[in-house]
Amino acid sequence: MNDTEMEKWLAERFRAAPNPEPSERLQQVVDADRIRASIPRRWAMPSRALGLSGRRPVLAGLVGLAATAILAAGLLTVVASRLTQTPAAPGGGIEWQPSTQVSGFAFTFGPYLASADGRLYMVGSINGLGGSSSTEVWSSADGASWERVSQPGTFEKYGPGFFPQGFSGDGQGGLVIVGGVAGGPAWHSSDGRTWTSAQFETPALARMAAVAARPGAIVAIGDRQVPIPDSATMSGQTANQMYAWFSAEGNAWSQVVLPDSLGYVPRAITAWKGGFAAVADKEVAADWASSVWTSADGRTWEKAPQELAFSPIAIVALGDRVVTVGARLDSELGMVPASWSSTDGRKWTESTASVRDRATMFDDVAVVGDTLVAIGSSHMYTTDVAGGPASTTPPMPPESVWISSDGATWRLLAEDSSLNFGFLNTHVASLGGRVVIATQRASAVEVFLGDLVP
Amino acid sequence: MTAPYGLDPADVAFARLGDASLRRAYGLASYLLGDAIEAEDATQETMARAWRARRSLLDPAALEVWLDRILVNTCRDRLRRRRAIKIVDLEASGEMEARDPFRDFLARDELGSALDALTPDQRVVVVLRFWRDLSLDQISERLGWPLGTVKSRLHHAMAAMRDRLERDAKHELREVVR
Repeated sequence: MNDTEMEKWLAERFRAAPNPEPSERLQQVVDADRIRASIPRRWAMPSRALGLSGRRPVLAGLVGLAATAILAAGLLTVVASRLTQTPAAPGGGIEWQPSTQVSGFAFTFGPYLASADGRLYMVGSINGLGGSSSTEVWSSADGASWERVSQPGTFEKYGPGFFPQGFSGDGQGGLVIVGGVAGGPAWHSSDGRTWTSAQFETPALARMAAVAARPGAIVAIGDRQVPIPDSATMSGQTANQMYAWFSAEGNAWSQVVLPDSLGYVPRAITAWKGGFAAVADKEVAADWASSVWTSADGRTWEKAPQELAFSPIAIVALGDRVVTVGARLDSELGMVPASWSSTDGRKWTESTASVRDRATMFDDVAVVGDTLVAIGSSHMYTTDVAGGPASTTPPMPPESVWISSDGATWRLLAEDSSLNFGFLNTHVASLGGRVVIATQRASAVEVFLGDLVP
Repeated sequence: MTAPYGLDPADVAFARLGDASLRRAYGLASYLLGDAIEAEDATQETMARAWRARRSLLDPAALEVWLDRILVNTCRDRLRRRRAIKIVDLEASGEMEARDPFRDFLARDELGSALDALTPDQRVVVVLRFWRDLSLDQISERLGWPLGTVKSRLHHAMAAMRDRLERDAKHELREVVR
């Protein structure tokens, strides 16, 4: 055979050869590895407990399955039984309307919500393998009827791959989207329809994770991997570094490094009476720990001296108070919802909230009128993700909603079986005094509307 | 996917894109290693490495190329280690082993014999070129090797496979005559 004949022979042989199919176990151990790599070390299993090296597949398979079960049962405290010690809160709460489904979405990132000029906006992106991506902005006057307001291809005109991570009004009736990659990590619009990519003093080779604004000041936080200073000569030694960006109008941005932020992952930012407050947690830590950075003007930042023993996910301002919500580790329940609040940004006080189910925690929070509304769900099982296979696990317990008038005391509202949130793709916002929750389903965004009742 | 609390939406999206690549990655590992169990190990290792380094991937569109490179490097390491250690045939020693239809296929098919004649680097190029149907430029990009290196390895691979197939054919002929 010459080379041409050999190439033809190989192409035909490979075409006719079987396509190897991975076992279900492979997906399980890949998931387990991700869990193990993402949770604090003291909960972690020995590093090769799930490995299947060598030629003892039967025994190794059993070890792997057992380890997966231990991981599920022990590390995440996955217990199916409902807790009974927490009765539903008496009195008022939120009256929910039948939900609406906005079809045709399978957002990889989002839906994120933001209010501007009396309307609610939703942004999300579909990011596929091979470079396809599509970011869309939708708008609604009432939370029930939605129209797409961004033009197709707007966020892809400088290249594919933009993914939104944060969304906010710009403090002047416009909107800002931040995220990563193509066309720069920030986009601004004065009307929600026409979007322009932001300009940077220095190249913003980072992702922006969250954004907040007040009139005349828009501030985003983000991160990128940088070489660790003490080990600059050691190849591959990197850590997360946090940055903040400031813009007066949303188009021109300047960048600063957040002080003492090496090894932190940015989570959320809010405008507040003291300026801006950003919260981040440590990239790797034996226990969950986070820190807060504050700035009076969005340009000069200070790290709060107090470390908060929890993992934050959102931060909001209510009156004079700034409140961050998330979860903390609990020896019995695995994880429980936790919040911290402060009036000066330096001294923080912890609060906890009641739960009905184990592994339940705050997922997001919004200010509706003069009330804080927080949402949460139990993270006990596999949950739906857009575009993924349908879940075969038992039904999730009903979702949780808490309200608070001060960020210090939370009231768990009565159970409502109509609420069903997706994992981390659920956000809460306010529209005209109403509560709006948007969650990603397999091929649609479901919107829940509710009214606070006394 | 199952995901713990503490992941941000980017992590969830990364895991989802990684899951979508799992089947393709496993297939590639199977042809590179020729063994289903070892391919699962290598795929698991690749996904774990990618997960730990996920924040260094700024462009989700580059995920496929990035995963391929990690997987190929993982498999090359395994192939090299395999050449350096003594393989004990557990079947011959009576140990129980789960059936591996893919390894059985390669053991009895000419394709498996041809692939066995290759060095780890040659095998990587051949599998990416003819199983994944990638161009030499795409292989060069994925592996970070100069195009000339890819061409050279493919050329030597073709010669080695041709020699192996001719030797097998002569051996088969001798067996028939005998």
